Amino acid sequence: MKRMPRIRAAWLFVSSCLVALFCAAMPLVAAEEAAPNPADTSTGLFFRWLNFAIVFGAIFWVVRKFGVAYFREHARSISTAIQQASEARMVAERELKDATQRLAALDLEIQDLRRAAVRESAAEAERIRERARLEAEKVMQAAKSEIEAAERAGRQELRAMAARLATERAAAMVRAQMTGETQATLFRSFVVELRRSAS
Amino acid sequence: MRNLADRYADALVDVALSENNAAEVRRQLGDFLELLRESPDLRLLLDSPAVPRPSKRAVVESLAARMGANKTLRNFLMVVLDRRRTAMLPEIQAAFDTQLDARLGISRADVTSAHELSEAEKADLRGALEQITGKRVDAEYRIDPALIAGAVVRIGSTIYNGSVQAQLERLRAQLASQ
Repeated sequence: MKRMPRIRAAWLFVSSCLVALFCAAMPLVAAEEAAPNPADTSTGLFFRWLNFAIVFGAIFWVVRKFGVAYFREHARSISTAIQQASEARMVAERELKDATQRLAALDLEIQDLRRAAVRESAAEAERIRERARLEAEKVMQAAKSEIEAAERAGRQELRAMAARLATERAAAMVRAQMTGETQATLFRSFVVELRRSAS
Repeated sequence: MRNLADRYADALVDVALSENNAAEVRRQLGDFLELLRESPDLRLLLDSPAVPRPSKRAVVESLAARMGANKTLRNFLMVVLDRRRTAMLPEIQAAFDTQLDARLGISRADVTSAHELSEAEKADLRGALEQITGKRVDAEYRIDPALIAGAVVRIGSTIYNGSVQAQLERLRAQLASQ
């Protein structure tokens, strides 16, 4: 199948050369027809055709000897190049298709990324709000605890002061009303208490 | 150091009890230490290594004679002097008191009262304390008007507080904690 186009090309080349030679010889033939020439005799014509045949044969031999291989090689390289080009085209088309698909997917990806960014930003904002709320709650709680502690301490201090004043007042009253008899009675009751604790 | 003082005190108690003059030794030892406390020069003289021992002995002998110290105490003071333990005398005295009280079955009580106690009250209190401790009680009495009324008794590390001041303090604590 590959051989046929190469042979056809070689023949086409040879035929073209012959046609060119024939056309080149036409003016000479026309000029010689004008004046009688020994070459126009049948012998001359024969030799002319013989000369033509020899030149044609030599050309044909040269063309057949080198041209076929050359053209065959050339045709092969062209065929290879065409095949490679075809493969490259296919690869390029595939890559183009991939790129197109990727491009189409890229849009989707960008949209996904954008949606994800929006979601993430909303989540981050929510997290920040939540953290701020927790911090505020903590601060509030700490302040509340501090206030409660201060209040407790104040109450405690107030109670202690009231108790101290009350007992100081009571001590003063007891001292004012204390007599020798009362002292003796209290001492006796202490001794009785000691005896009770011993038994 | 405490163990060493205990050993000296133990020896003195043994001798004092065997010679039946423990109370006298206690009193005279107390007097001698009071003298030491009141006279820094005497203390310096007895503690100083620069003063020869015969001189120290002469000074102590002279003081003991002037105080009318008995033979037991004199001998003891000479032993302490010879062993260069005069700096330990306050500890030895404390250990002596403790050990002697323990051997005689005596408990020492510090009694602080708001008013001066009569003899009857003292006897009543001593009786109650002897009932508590199961020992004979030897008490020292002090007056503190801040107690308002009643008394505070300390025996060793135990305190019996029957003062009005303590009752008012308890009341104050109760009121403050409510």
